Amino acid sequence: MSDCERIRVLLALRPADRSESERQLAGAHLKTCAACAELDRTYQEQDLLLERTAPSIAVRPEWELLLRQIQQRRGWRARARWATLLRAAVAIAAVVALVLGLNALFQQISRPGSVQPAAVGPAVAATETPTSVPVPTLTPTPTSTPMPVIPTAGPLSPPLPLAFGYGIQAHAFVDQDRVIQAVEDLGFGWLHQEVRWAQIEPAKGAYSWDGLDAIVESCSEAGIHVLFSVIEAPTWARGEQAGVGPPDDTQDLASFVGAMAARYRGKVHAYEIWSGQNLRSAWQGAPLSAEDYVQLLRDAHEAIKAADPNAIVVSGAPTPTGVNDGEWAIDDLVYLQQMYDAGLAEVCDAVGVHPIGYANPPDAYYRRGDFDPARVFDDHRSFFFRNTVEDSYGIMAENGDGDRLLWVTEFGWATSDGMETRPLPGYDFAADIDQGQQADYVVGAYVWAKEWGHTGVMFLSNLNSWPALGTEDEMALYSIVRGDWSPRPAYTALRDMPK
Amino acid sequence: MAEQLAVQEALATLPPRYRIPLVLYSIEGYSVAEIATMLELSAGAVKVRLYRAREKFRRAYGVPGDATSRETASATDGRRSPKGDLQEEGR
Repeated sequence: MSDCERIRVLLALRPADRSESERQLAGAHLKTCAACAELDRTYQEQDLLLERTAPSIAVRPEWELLLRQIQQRRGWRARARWATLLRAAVAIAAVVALVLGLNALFQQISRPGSVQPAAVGPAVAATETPTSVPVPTLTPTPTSTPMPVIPTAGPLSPPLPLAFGYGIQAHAFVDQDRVIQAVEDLGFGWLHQEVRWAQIEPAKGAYSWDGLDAIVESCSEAGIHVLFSVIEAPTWARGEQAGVGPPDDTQDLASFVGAMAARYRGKVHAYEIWSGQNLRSAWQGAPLSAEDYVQLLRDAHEAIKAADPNAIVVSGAPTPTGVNDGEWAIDDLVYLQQMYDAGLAEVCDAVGVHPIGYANPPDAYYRRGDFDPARVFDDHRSFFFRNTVEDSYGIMAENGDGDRLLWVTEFGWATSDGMETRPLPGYDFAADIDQGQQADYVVGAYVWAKEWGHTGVMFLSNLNSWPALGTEDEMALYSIVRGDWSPRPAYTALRDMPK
Repeated sequence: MAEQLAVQEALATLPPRYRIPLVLYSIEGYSVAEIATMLELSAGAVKVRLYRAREKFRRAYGVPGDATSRETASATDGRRSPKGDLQEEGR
């Protein structure tokens, strides 16, 4: 959220509802920002308008009904509650629309060419005395059931500034309402959603967009920006090879992302093309090769820009592992330089990085040796957030690309604290920090990176892997909510963090 | 009365997640804390929703007192759709 947006959230409140410090902050800002000062006046006029017209607004009974629903259903699971509320809202909206339509018809028939107060009597009179309003039935009917809205290619949105931003990885295919609500509650502006190409295009040219449609629509309604991280070619594009890896023909991916960018133009704002492609685990069936990857990115970039010129294309982030054997992994920094050698600068808008912190604090640097004898995964620079971020930027600058921003498409700290299971082998470092440290580290990383100035959007890993995947999945260790969606300390700290 | 209908129409374009907090706050006079309790949200989430609701209402209705701006908004009716807000906000 930008400085102006933070102030505008305050301006949306009545002055009496702002704290003294908020009043001072807003007052100081309004003296220097004409746009916000104008908005402040607009909001004040809005209040007067709403107060003036309030007595006869036909939507007034609606909130009473909705509140009754809320009160009756306290204790229900949130998902069930919101689904009910939405159905009720749709039913009420239909009633309001019907009243408005009948009213308009009544005006046309009885008083053509004139608008008299009496002409809108039915709706107005009813709402002036809420207790006398006939309560519309809330029983869902087939016609009142919300139908999924299928996005169509929208107009071009203005290009987004490539600026610092707060984002989070989430599993939005499940618990979608909770995910959206949490992103809003955190005060974050971006959602990172993994898109497994193999699942969306299981047969060439046969797309299954339903799940993505729902995510995109929910985010669009909530004003949340979306990054799709595209991975995993379908087997039909890999000569029927099993495993997770790239396509044989880079144009197959280009066709897929082009179709996606056209469908979600203006609603999906950024695309990351692949992830961890320096690892065998993400690039099976072909030799690890930055040159091959950049060709894949080049074709995808061209297709996305043709469909949505303002979409941001982020290069796939190499993953730091401390391994550089060329077979199982190429070192992330070595790989990034190879990407530049292959022409990276011409085929992306931002450079993706994955500065996973392992169990080391966000302000610590690897300085050779063993950082902490009591810990594991601390004897290589790959395990340190700051090293990965700053060293990656160093390579960008050395290649004349220092004006471009790094996008941190994945970072985070894992902890098994509060879980009843030990971390899986390979994730032993999750036992080295507790939940309080996890909270301190994630906040510290955001605060430092914003100040540092070379990072664009930072996507924390992650919001809800624990409830979505269970503790048997290693990504649950990074989750900032528990299995029952209760917040871990990191969630609360991020929500309360100044942004 | 035309003004009341216009306000009503503009409010009706807001998704419930934004319309309800705005109506509770700006028309019914509830505080942020009260709305947070009623809707089981944090105070911060209510504030953000109020801001977004005001922006959506502003775009749907236009600037209060400025008939021209509302006519302009009506002329580009497709952009008034709640589904199109993202483009309008330049996000």
